[in-house]
Amino acid sequence: MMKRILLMCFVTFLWKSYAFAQDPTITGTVKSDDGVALPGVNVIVKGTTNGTSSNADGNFSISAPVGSRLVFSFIGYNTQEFVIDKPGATPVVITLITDSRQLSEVVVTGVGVATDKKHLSIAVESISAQNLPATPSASIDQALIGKIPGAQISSISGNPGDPVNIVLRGINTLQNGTKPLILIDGVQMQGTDINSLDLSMVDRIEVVQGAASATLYGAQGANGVIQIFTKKGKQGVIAVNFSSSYASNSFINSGNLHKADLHPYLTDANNNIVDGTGKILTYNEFGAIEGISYTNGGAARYGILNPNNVNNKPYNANLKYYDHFKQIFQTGNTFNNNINISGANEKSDYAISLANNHTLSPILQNGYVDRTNLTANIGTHVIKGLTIRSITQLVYTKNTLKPGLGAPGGKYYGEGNTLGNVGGVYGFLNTSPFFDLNRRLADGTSPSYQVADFLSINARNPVYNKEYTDGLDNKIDVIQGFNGNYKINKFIELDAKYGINYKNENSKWIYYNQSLNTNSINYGSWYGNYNNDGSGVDNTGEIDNFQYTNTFQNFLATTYIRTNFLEDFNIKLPIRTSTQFSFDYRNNKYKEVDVHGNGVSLLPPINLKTSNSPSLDLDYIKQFITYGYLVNQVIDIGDWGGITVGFRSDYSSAFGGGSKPFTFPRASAYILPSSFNFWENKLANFIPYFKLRAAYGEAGIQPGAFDRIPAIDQNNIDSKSVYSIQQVSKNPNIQVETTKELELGTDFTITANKGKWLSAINGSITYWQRSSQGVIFQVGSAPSKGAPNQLNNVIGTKANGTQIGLNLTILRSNDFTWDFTTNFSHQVSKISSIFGGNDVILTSAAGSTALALTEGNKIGQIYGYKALTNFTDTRSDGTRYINEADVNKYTLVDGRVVNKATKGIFFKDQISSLGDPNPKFNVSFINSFSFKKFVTLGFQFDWVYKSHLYNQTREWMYRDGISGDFTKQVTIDGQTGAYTAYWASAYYGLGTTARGSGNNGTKDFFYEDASFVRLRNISLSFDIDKFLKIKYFKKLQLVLTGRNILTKTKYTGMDPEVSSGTANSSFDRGVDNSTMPNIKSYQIGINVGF
Amino acid sequence: MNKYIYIKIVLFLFFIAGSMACKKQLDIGNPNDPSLKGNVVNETGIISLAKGIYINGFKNGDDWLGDSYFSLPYGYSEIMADVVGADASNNQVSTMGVPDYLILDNGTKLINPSPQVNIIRKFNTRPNTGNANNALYYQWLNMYALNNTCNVVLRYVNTIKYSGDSTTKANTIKAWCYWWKGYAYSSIGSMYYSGLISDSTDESAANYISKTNNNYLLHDKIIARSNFYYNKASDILKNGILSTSDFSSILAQLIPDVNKVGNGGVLTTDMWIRNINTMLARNILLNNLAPFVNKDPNAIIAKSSISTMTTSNWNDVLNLASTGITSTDLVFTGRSAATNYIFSATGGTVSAKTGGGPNTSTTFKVTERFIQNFKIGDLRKSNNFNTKTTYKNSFNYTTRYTPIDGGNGLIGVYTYVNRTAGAYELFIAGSYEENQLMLAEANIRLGNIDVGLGYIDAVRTYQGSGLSAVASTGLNLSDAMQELVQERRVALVYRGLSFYDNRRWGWIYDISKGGGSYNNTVVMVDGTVNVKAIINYNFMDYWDIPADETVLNPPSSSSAPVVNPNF
Repeated sequence: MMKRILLMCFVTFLWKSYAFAQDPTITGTVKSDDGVALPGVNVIVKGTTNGTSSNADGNFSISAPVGSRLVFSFIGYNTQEFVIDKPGATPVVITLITDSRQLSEVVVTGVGVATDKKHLSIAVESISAQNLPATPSASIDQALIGKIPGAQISSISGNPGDPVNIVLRGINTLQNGTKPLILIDGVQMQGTDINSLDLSMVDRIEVVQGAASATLYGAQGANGVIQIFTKKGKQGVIAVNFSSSYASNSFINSGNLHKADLHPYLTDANNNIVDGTGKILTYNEFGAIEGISYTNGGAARYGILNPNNVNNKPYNANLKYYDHFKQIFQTGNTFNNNINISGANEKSDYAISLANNHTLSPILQNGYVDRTNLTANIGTHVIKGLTIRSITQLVYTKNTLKPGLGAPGGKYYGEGNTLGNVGGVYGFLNTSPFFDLNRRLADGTSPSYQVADFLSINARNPVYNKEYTDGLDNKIDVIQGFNGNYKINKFIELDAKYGINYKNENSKWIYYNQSLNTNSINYGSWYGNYNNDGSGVDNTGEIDNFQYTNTFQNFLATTYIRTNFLEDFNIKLPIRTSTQFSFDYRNNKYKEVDVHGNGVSLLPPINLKTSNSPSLDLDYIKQFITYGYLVNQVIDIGDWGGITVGFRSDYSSAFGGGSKPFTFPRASAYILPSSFNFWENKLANFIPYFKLRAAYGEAGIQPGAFDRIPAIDQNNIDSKSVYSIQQVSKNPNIQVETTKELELGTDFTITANKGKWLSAINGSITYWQRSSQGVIFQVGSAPSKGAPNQLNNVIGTKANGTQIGLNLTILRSNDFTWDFTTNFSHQVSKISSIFGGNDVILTSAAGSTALALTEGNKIGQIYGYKALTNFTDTRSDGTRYINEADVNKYTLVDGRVVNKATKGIFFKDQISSLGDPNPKFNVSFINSFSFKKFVTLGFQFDWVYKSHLYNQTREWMYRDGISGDFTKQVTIDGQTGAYTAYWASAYYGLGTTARGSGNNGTKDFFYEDASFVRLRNISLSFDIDKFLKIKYFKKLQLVLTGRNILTKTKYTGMDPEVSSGTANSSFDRGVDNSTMPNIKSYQIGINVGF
Repeated sequence: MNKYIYIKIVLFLFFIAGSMACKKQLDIGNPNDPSLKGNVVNETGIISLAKGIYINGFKNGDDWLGDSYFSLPYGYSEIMADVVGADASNNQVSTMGVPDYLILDNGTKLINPSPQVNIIRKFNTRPNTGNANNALYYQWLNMYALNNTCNVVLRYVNTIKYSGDSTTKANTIKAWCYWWKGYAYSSIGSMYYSGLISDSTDESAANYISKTNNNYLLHDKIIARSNFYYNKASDILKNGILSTSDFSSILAQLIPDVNKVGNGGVLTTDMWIRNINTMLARNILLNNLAPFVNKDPNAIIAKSSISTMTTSNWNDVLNLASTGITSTDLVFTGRSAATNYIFSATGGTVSAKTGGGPNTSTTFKVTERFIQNFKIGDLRKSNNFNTKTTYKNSFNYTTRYTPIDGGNGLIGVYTYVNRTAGAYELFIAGSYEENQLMLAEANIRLGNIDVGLGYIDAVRTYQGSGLSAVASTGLNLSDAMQELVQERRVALVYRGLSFYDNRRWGWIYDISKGGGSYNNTVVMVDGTVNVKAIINYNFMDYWDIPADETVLNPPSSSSAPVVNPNF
């Protein structure tokens, strides 16, 4: 029946459009409120699909009957209507007023049907390109930091090419991490990392965060969705834009992490460091130093715990002090160049961009990352209403960073979420500061192992790493989307999208033959990946070849049916409906082949063929197919409110062909009290716009591709196949994880003042809560069963949060504008239940730092030993740590109980939670000033409050007492000095004992508040064209940018923003273990437009 | 125009319908990994799985400073026997072997602020296993994984169609499984206070894992189970092998080629039975006390988890060892390889971890207590150790000795360390030397001192020590035992036996209970050499059960203790 009605309407519509074919033509110009012609403004005859857009000069021409209304709309401006009251009118001039509320802005992400913000029933954040800073990395992920209310985006590593951590709404799954779904112009991108895309080609970005909205995208959307829209050509003359910039980059060290420049070693009268017999120490033939001794306690490791040793002697005689951080962390640079050409006519539009980013690594300047992007967005109107669009992004990335110094590669690297291999960078962390990392052996080569007997035993020399390795990574990303859109009539729109995302990456690591290096020979110390000195063959080097291929296809077919009861059916109800039917198919295939050969020839050619016994390490295919149907119904009632209901049903290859689909519902509603009569008089002046909204959604998160398939491992022993039982047993009974979310929110506009100041405050506040059930994870299983872990649906999580976005138009005058934006996010994620109740023990990518999932506790908590802060503290069994009789042997230093005799801090020997590393909230403050449209100053402060980091980097430097902290004086029982025993006890101590049991234990001493305020971005731009009025230039802009140039924090590591865990790990987020800090950059750039 | 639209719509719906038909596409399975159902279906499949004991038993879960069972659980044995020391804090290797106190020659008493039993108990938690701080975990993990692999193989062994003599082939694989199950239970029963018997697979988990239970049994019950399986293997080798060639062909596939060098290779059924006898003798010898404290062969340990060897026990050892491994028998060995190895050349054995650089930089450092066992003139010492550097330690690990990688090249002299791929021969189970020294000790203890000393001489000759014979030199029981002790410590080092020796000789027990170690060489960082140092190890004799088991599989009320009640 419905079909027939629709058909009738459709025929009626066709007849109508033919009937009015002879309408008069209206011409005119569209200008902005500051008098500039606006090209690309949509001009539509209201109630029809008849439309055009203004050309480069802002001119338009359209045929429309007398009495009809022309609707002029353009993003960022209030929509205007113009009534054609007579035929053949003189050219009209339409002035569009800037819309500070941006309520006319249309979003599509998470709503199914394109919806203007005014009628949104969920929170959708959108950000246009002009608000994205030109970061030196020219990457979208970096640019998004701080821009999305509710999102926690942190740059966890400063190694070029590394991904960021993104948490949108809580931690709701464990295996899959927190990475959101990335869409480009409606098509999912998987395989290519968001940081490979060209920032200059972005038109705008929309973000939907929760399950309530992400239900539309199926299981993959459960972590939220980020959709990138690329620029389209606009009608008018061809626009050519060229940008070029140069940045100087260096690592942040906001905590002034450094090594001790004073020492406690045995010296002679001239302050020469000597051995027990008085012999002045010097480098031996291998570049090491033998004979060092503590002043007290002798020539052995635990001399550091001798309470008489004081770190107070300068390195001013035979051995000197070297600042290793300066030796390794140098200054790198970045060049960015891009050119965009775009244009359009009635039939087609195009935008083509070529961009190059070249980044020299600051890590010993060991290599570069060079990325070239070619992007083309081409659309053509085939017949009336039918548009075909092709969006192509080709990315070629060449990365020459060396293995150990930042190289991409390694097992499963191609799946994403793996940081570059920086394992060699912090080799110097345990090197005593009296070693010069640049010192060479007699033959001019570098030493690998700069050891001084019991000191520096974990030392590795990054300079040696640089000398004996090479890396080359070539990556080609192809992201091709096709879109056919057919607006059959005003009721029916058909849309088909097909996207293919292909990535081919080859990573080659070479560890040169080190068998001639005398240091390597003597100490059995060398570099290698498989053939390393911990479990390899010998120091003759190694060649690794990693080949990754990702192929991802997404097909999405949608039918939209729209009705307007009043206009279409003459039913006197102000009801508009949109119905969406979609079919969504995704096919993800990942392939990896890893080969390595040991023994690299000392003579060229150096390749796999000339290595010994190349072996195949991995030949792996992972395919995941899922498809499903989506139905979503939107009903809007006038301007008063609306509801949306829908469901999505998906099949998945994780369950095989015979499986049933998983279906999840969603619903949302909004009401606009400001649209009712009662509002009009009293409140409308002050709050012209006020909306309340609520949304509920469920989503299923699929198990991993092979989680339900029990398997055995395939190994090789001397080239013969061997099967073994897997250490994590798979589980054929695993089900889909389910996550449910409720979000409540309000959007509003406050007109605080009618004058220049504070004319508008736009806000959006959302509270959300989520819970997940049956979260899949590997949990401990009794080892006597033969496999220590089993996958199962075992964990329940609960999360909630608040997000606030506020935009203030602080000042609008003829010469000066000032806008202010603040984005706030607070979120908490907890483990609500664990099947069986036993803690889930996690392995952290970081040191000995302990992680566990415990019922009722927050996800990601770190467990360890706390220092005693009270003499009467007791163990869990009620016994006192310090007997009453012994209390006088202890004193308090810096709030901690310290033994007066040993000078050691007393750490409780029972593990407890040290806290939750996730921040209490994060907020950004963005200011933008513009003077006479000539000078623009913008800056953004990010404030992350009460985040915590376990400073494992610092703890490692306590082992040998080489942390800068060791020169700090403390007063213990009336004596003041930089006692090595005091500081070293933080590494060695546990309970009443030192030596061993507490070594490198996780202690609250190193669990630090990592709150910070960061000047994320500051940019000053001069629009020279506005000043000089140069012909031919549409734009001539000089931009000075600083990124991350100021950080205010109490954190004593290099950078409070980093995390050593896997990128986007759900739980491993709070450890800093030799992680690359972020980069601070000073950039100068020019933007030229023709 | 209308038609055109209709065609579009029809095509569109058609596409959706077409896509709906792609449910078959969802049958992707796992193209990378084999499965029991799909792969353990023929001779090749079951052999590949049976060979998996090398991965599950001796490789998986052991990646730390080294990379195998032979560097980690073997490592603890050698650390606790004070033949190697360690500096690194990983896996508590620097604390597990530190004695409670030392008394130096001048009477100075050095007290260890971190006693071992305390460390073991403090770190026996699941989070500490996660932190790699729980020493108790690895041997338990590996041996039950080994046991599980055998259970899975036994579950499928009769479902396979074999070529040739199928009884022989199936029985060879069964013998293989029974042997390794005997080995696994032997390791569990020799190291842990109690254990679990798990002999079948879990059907509900598609047979990939074993059924377990929470009825923990005392260690002697676990040893009894080990004997049960060793005997079962022996029986099947005696009676179930009808075709020698089919037996050899299967065993040749089960033993990696890289191991078929030196003493390793494809055993005959008789050789294998003799290997079993050695292991049965080992079960008795290692799990009873035979105190020899301060050269007193009659020393008594007041409190221990085991009883003292009886004459009957000694006779059993003698009888079994008499039918044990001979000098020409092949045994179960392991070797590294350049690639596709079970353990690496530089990291997979205790031996490898003691070499490869000066003692200041190696993971394990040979101790002075190890070196002191070499008699003057022992070529094994001059062939294997230099004194170029001294590793200095604040307590007992200071050592002047560094093993020489590959030795000094003395022909026919045993080499302790060789880090070239495939060069070092690792003994997974019994060896000729071990069997000879069991014969020696049993004879000495049964009063046949010179007969016993003759076996010691045989081992010294076998390893090329160049030492003159001690048989018939008129040694008394104490001196003969001293020869035996010294020889066992140097001849069987790095074979995962050293701790059991120190335990049964009573050295690891507290001095107050009659234990302790006397006349030790202890070097101080200033170079002072003590030669009469008294060492009070006071180590836990049988380990508590790792928390990973007891928390996830809590003991039933009738279980044996899971915490050693004697410590």
